Amino acid sequence: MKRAITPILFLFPAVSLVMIFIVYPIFYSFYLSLHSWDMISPNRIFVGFKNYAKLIRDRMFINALKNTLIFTIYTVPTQIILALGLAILLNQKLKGISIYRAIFFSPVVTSIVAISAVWMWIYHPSLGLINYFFRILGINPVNWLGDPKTALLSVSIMSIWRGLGRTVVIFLAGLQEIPKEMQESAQIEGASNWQIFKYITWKLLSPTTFFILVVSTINAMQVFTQIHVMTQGGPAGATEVIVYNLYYRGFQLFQMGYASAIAYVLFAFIISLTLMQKYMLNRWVFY
Amino acid sequence: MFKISLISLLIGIFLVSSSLSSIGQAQSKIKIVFWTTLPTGGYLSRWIKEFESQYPNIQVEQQFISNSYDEMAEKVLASIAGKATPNVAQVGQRHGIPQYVDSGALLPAGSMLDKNDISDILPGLWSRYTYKGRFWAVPFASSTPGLWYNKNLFRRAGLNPNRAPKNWEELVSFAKRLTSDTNGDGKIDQWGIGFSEDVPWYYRPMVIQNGGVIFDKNTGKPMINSKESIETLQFFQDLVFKYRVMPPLQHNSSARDFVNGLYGMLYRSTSVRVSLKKEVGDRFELGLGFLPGKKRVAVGVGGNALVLFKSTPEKEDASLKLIKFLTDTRRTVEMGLETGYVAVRKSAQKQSEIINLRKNDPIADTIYKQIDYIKDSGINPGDALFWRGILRGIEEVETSPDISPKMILDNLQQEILEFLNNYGRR
Amino acid sequence: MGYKSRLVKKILIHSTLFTLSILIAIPFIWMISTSFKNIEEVLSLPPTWIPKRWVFRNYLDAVRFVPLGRFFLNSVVVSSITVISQLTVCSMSAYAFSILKFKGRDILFFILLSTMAIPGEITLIPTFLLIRNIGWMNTYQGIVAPSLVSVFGIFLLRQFFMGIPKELEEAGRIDGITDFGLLIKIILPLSKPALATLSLFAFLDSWNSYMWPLIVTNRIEMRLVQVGLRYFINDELGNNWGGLMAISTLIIIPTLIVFLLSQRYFIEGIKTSGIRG
Repeated sequence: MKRAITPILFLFPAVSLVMIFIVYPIFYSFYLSLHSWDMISPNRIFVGFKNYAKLIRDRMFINALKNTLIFTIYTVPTQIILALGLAILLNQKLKGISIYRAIFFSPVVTSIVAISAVWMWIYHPSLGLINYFFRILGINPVNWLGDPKTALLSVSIMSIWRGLGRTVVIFLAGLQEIPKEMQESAQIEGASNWQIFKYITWKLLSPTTFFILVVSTINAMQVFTQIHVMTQGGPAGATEVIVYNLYYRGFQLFQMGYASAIAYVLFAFIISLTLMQKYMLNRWVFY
Repeated sequence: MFKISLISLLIGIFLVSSSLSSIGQAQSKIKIVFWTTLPTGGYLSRWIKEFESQYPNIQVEQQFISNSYDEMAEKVLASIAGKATPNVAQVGQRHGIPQYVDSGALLPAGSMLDKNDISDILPGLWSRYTYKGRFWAVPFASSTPGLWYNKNLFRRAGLNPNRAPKNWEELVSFAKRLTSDTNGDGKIDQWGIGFSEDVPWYYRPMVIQNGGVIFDKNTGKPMINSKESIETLQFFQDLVFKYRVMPPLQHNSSARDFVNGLYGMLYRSTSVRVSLKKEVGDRFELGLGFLPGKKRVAVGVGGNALVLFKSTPEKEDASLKLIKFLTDTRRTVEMGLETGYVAVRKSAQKQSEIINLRKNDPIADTIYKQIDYIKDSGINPGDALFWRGILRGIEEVETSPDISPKMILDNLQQEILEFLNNYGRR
Repeated sequence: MGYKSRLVKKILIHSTLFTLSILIAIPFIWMISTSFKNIEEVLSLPPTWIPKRWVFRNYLDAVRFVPLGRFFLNSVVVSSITVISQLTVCSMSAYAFSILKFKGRDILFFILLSTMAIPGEITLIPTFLLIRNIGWMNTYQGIVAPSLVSVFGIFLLRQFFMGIPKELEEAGRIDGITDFGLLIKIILPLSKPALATLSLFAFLDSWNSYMWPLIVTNRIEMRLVQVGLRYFINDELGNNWGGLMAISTLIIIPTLIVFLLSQRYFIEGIKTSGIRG
């Protein structure tokens, strides 16, 4: 009797807050997605799933979807591999390790508006830092953010730079959970570093890795601010991503219903990606 | 028991006194809320104080929202949706106003001014703020585009540093002479002409210069794929591939390059009059010319304007008084002196301060000479589509000489037509 | 041999970390260096790493024009409430989702998780309408309400709680400990690194929040630190780059302090894991 009520007690604060402040607005936007409405004009028209049907023919949206997936493929695996490597390095007991940790974390604390401006200088085709070094090395300068071929890659690099510290911190926290004794006893038994990593660290870290994979995929699929500041979706639509598209539809063209439909298609993509990740990784996630 | 009664007594006293004080205030002062894109503490706050001392029964609360027009637009949209609008707001003209109008939240502030005021403000500005035959905003901080140039590079190229190109043909011939490979490595490192990141803002008047329009003045119908517009987009492609005087796809970086002497000429807003001089410093001598014309001379207008929200008659009245005050001759003159924005009243230009400014600063003089040529075709619900479509189109034609400007503009025209059809049916 | 190889390993690690940290720090260093330059030098070619002439005006401007004190106070209040609330609420529900067993647990968790898949940009106005209807505009509760709970935080803690050895839980049960006791006396002390991570992120996200506070407040006295940047951005009249970089540098100091404080718990985590044996 007492047992049945315990989960309710433990879940009540979170669930009630989520229902009011998160689920309610989400349902509201679903309601919006079935209408042709800008949220301010007196007449709203119920259109059913027409907004969704229109999306299939919307070239701007298809392009945004493609770019979002490419951005996710560029950033998520790179970030996870880099962060895991860094976290293992930063988990050592070394002099000055906390300074290194602070440096790797520093990009995370910067305000995105200011740091995007800094990156725009770094990427500047004639005066920027990267091309400055390229010229010294005799490499042809690249129009990083200006060229449709490199713009999305450039935004991805900046995003990896900014998000890396977060992932490192989560991995670090995950590494703390692994009992030192297990690694030590394996070492005594003559296991190589790679074996220790493969059979102990990687396995015991799998709940953390799963978490990071899911969360960073969601974040990548929802990338917006740095695009808004640095490229506004350009050049020639090369960095147009879904949330930017949604923002443009909703807030500049006042197509709130349509924008909400975009959000729900994104939702479907993210959920199926998450389920796929869960299915594929179920084998090595040890709880 | 005693505690509870004491608390309720205290609450009672508090409620009564607060309601009394609010009644007292309501009788003596009309409070209006003013959302601004200018932070508090500057010239705008000073003017509000002056306004309050002139109208002691009106109290203005300036609320700095954001100097990003996009963010202000989000805020206004949310406020209309939540029925929590301010009384007056400073908004950008790029997109949004037509939708606010159609939501029924606005009053046509421009049309509500006195006849004298309306005719004193340059007609070109009204041409921008017109929607469905009325003036929905009063121009506040207005800016115009201009052709900035580097006089040192002009001299080096054997051009007269005091004469900017008058038309597109001259623009091309000047640009050809300014384009060069200064260090002899086989690559061009000094370009004739560049456009700043807000390219559609220059595209708009260029179409008008070429004899076209963006939206039909009377019907609001888009004319994006007109012959005049296609020629304009073609011109961008030609600057890159035919004349080879503009580097492709560098609109986001051109402003900084210009400061460092890598461009001979640059299309950029004249509102940077003060800051650009500081940025350039003693690197070179700065010149400003009109936007080069074609069939006619035309220039666009940017910046922000004041809109008036519906509320109670007495607040609406007070708000209109505030708008009138902030855009009167005196304030317009001060705006022209303290910032890079331009004083857009005929009466303001007759004031000695503006006359002196023009005498002492040839750049300011050019700006004031050019404002008589402001021409536009009114705000339109499809403005955001135009902006984005043209930006994208220009970027596309700069990527390859094989992309057809006509095809791009035909598609854009179709897209805007569809959008406006749906918009009208709503 | 052992000593030598350890030394080589140490040198290798140090040099790798050093090179990487230089690469990572470049934009950061650039930001700080720009905050001490005048406008002419900011845009100069070639770029200068160390200002030719040190200018402190940018910082003076930041302090003079921006009501920074008020912004800091608001941000500290909002961030503290967010951190405390998320720690409490998330750890309780993460406990339910990991240690407790009940019907529909995993489905409920997945539904909760799926709310993360809707981007905040689209719920911005619906959330605003909600807060306005409650009557919380221009208040601290209006600013913090949507971030009192974080699905990210629940997920994070759940993953960590799941990694805690079952034996510890069972040992507690035999002693007749209640679920609350188990959470507070056993689970939470073992999860300090995860709790530190959550606190850090909760703090950071509310410190960096911009659009939501802007939508839900009108009065400048209720705004948070990120608004400060807006005083130096003006596309039309030209940005004040030096001022922008100065204020950005100023407002990241508290987050760096919070980071350094939370570091302690990472090291403590190593010690506590010793009990597990």
